[in-house]
Amino acid sequence: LHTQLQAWRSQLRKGNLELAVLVALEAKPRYGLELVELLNQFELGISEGSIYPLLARLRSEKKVETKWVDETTGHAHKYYWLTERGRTMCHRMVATWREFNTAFGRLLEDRR
Amino acid sequence: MTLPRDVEAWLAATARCLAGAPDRAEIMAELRDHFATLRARGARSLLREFPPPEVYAAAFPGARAAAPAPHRRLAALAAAPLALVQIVAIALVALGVIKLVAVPELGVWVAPHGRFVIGVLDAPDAHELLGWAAVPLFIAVGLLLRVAARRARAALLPHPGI
Repeated sequence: LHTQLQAWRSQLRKGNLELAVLVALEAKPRYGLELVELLNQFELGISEGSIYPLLARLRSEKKVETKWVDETTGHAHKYYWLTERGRTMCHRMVATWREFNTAFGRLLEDRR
Repeated sequence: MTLPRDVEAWLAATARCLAGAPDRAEIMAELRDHFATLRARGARSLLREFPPPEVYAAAFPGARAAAPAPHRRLAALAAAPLALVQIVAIALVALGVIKLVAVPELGVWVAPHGRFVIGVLDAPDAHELLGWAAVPLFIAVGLLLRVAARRARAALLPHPGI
């Protein structure tokens, strides 16, 4: 059961990673490692390896744009920010998440 | 910034696997920046959260399949022999433990006509070769085989992904 629960948690994380990244980029541009650290502050368990393929996909889907920015810290970081398309997707995903969360909350309440 | 040798090797292998990806140079520059930033902060195991290069590269849009075809064929061919080696390894460790705690006569025997038998042989002309040395030998060889089989399996069989 423990292994199955771990696999389910992993799928849950993977399934919601795009939403988490879009929400994290809604407020301001961020770079990859910064995103991982921010999301893990909320205990979402995002691995460093998973972020760059997702960001590359979001870029190919024109949901984010990028720019290399030198913060005068010795080397530049590649920053990501939402396009209008990405922002619209983010709002729709958040609305869907809330609907789902409400429905699931009702189901869990109903079981008592 | 200079990166550790294992990270450089991982980056080089990932770059090779990303040969078909449209943004290969961008991806590699970004990964290099990622590791350099962590390194500058004093992090040590930089690759801990990254899968093998061929698996990682395949996760990017436009990249080729996770493992080259010959690699997949080799993995398929090796699966059954590796499983057999693991069973032999476990059996050897079990034999060592059983000899130690329950059946002292268990060992490597030379039967009449020069035939070798692993187990217990109750024949008048048979003699045991290793005596109590069989206990550490069985356990050590069993453990070594198990480690070797697991490493070979990890290197050959498909990675679960990221």
